[in-house]
Amino acid sequence: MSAVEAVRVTAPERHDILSWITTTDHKRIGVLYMATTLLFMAVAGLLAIAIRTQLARPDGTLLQPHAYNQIFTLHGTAMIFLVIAPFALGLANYLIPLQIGAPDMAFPRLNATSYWMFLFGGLVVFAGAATNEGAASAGWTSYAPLSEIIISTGLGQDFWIVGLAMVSVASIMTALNFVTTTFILRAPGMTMWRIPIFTWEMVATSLLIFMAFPSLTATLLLLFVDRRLGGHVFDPAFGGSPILYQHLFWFFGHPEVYVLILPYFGVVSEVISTFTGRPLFGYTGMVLSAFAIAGLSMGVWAHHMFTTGAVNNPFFSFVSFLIAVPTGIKFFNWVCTMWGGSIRYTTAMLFALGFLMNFLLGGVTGVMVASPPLDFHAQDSYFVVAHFHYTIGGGSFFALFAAVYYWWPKVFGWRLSERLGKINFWLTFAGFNLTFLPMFFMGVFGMPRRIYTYANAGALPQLNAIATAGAYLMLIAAVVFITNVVVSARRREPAGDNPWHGYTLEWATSSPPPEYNFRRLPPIRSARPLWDVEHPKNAEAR
Amino acid sequence: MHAQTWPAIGSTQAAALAEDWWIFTYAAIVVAVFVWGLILYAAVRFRRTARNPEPRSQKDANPPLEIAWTVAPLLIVIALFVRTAHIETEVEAQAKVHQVEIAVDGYRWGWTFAYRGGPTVRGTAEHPPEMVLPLGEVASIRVSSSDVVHSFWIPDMLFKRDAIPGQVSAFDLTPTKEGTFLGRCGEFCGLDHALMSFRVRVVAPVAYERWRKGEATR
Amino acid sequence: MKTGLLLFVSAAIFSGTLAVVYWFVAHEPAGTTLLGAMTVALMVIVFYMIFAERDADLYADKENATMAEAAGEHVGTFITHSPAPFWIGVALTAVMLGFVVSPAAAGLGIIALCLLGALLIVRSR
Repeated sequence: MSAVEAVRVTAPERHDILSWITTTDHKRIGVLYMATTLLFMAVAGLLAIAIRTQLARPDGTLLQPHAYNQIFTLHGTAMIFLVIAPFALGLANYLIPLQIGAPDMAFPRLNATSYWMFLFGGLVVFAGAATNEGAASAGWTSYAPLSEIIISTGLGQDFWIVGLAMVSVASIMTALNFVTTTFILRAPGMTMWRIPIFTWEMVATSLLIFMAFPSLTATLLLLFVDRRLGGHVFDPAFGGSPILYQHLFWFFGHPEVYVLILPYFGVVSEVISTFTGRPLFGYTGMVLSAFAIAGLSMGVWAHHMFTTGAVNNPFFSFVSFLIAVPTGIKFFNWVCTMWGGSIRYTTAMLFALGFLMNFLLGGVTGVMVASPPLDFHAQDSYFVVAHFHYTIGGGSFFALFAAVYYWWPKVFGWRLSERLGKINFWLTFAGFNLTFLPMFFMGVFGMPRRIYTYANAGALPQLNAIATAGAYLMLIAAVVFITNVVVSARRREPAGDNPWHGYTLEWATSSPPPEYNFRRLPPIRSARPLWDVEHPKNAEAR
Repeated sequence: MHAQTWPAIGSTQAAALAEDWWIFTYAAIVVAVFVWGLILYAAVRFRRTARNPEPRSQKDANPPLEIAWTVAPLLIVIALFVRTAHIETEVEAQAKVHQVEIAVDGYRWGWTFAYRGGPTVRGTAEHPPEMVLPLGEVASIRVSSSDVVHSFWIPDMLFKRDAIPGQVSAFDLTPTKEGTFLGRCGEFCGLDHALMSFRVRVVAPVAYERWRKGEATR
Repeated sequence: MKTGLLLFVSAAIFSGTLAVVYWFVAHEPAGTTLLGAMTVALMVIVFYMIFAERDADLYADKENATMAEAAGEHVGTFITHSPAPFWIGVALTAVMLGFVVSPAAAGLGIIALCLLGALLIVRSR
């Protein structure tokens, strides 16, 4: 095994608060990102509990309509912009340099700047709640003219715009950093077709951010001009166009949902490959399908506008259907990765399996709502709510926890309890399905989304009661997770460098890794360098 | 009256829409059960046991298989698209002449139904308006809004159309069943969105004429 | 960096094609403009990669590169700490929020950013 000293460590590491505020180390920034998003997740999760409590019974009286509207707006905005997407950015911040054998990200200071802009942007969105008329209350889509100044008079909407603009620009800067790092800073021998699948998925995600986020920034800017500078871009009374807002917003908004899922495809691929003890099946197919999804997702935005009667439904319907093909490729590859393996059921693997089971339902119902005639009924009903929670919740959120359990020992050097972890998984899995499966039926039975009350009619009260029970089960699961962190932190069971027997480069360094990541690197001759080291004969025969 | 009897096919268009729902529901169930089966089989069959301590193979590609599972779903979605596009054409087809033409205007938080050459019905969240339609006759509904985006949704007819300020969007509705159907706003429109509802009452053409004259003289 | 360039070239070609197809199928100006702008943006990246990285010759792209032969390759200078990012974050927040609540805060933020810029110029001399 030939290995050399990669980068020399110069000064001892500092750990005081100032060192965290000034840090430009990608690992610390990654940890900051992930910790921040988990805190935001706790808030957004409690908001969801408030929503479910209000809807537990018909004619609920816990929340006034204005409070309810703020709560679901913040819940959606936070989960999408401040939790699921930035957790992936944080994870990638931590992992990309480790996976490709680099000392840091290409632009460390830009990286730290992105984090602070994201954090402050998120806080600004939440701070809207402290203004006179409360937080933004026009939904995470903030459709104009509802979000215009004459109707949404509160400052909360402006806080929402300004905060998200900061998050949006920060995301673009981070994507730039990821792409440059992956292209330029790979270790010797780590060719593009040998980089681990998670890093590939992040390159695809970054490409999507480049293509989609400028449209978000522009939309927010135009809305701001309308609200504060007397513009009429989206105001039909002065020749503005509400449909234009929807085009601009969804041109960003649909690719955004793939920004929310592609990184987690990568996570699940890594986890399944490690715990089955097999290489990822169809590596090339997995990479190409990620880019196929990214590309196609740029041509489907108006499937959110099927019911407007103002867009070309067949075009968007067809391209949306096409996305099922690369997604299917991924599913079959995951199954074939497990095929012939020897699967160890750790908590991370259970969450990955939960991802496969849930996301499949999100996927097939996605094909359903991509059919315009079907969408004429399903659009803006609880059917759609169920569908996207099965993708972002049952999918990304489960993979997020798979990532937490899988990489935790690498980040902190000690393990989380597997016993509590498994309880955490089963409670989450049961709670999730109990909450969201009934919502498909609510939607079909005619319950619109974003309503703070519903009449006592048909099966709706029973379905809603079940959904609320499920939400509380997930709350208990969250408490189990926090307990797990606290208990395990006290126990500090040492993890070792490679607790799961992983074969990608992040497992070749110490846990936690030192500044600049690697004291020495193994030779890189495939996507699984550590496997080659373990099996020198097979590697030579390659 | 509530849509729990789904699909309560209340119009010609809804019959086509229900067909679309059934095609896609069956397709989704078949695909989901097939793939769930594969996942669970692999998950159980290849778990680590005393008899399966090591992965049996490190094979990581199989081009013919990979091409097969790319082409097969492609054919399925193309078939689905052809069917769905056909159904959409059917649903969105508009007759040249209409016995009934109604301009629907959404506002926060109520509706106005203006019958061409007839009465105008106006309702609020507290007193929802009623749209009366003659059974079996083609009605043209022209939807618009005077403030924010709303959506004119009749769950029992499996159909909605957004009411967008500054544009008029028309569709045909041919009721095939007498009775009263609940309708509501589908697009979030602010404070009382949850209460913004209306009713559609389908009656025999004779009763419709009587109603129309009665409203006109009021 | 052939693979990376190929990636952006394909993305640009794809989005350009999509823009043209979309225009002829849908005749809808907003979406066509967005797809067109996206194509132009991707082409900017493509041209940058062609001109700026013409000579990039990385050990990372050599299938059989060893760590030993790459030793001494200059990959970049990486610092571990800098006060600038946090400073920029706070100042930008003041500017952005200032647009909404108080122009004075925006002014302070802009002054803070200018100070940082001046400091960086002085230090780089």
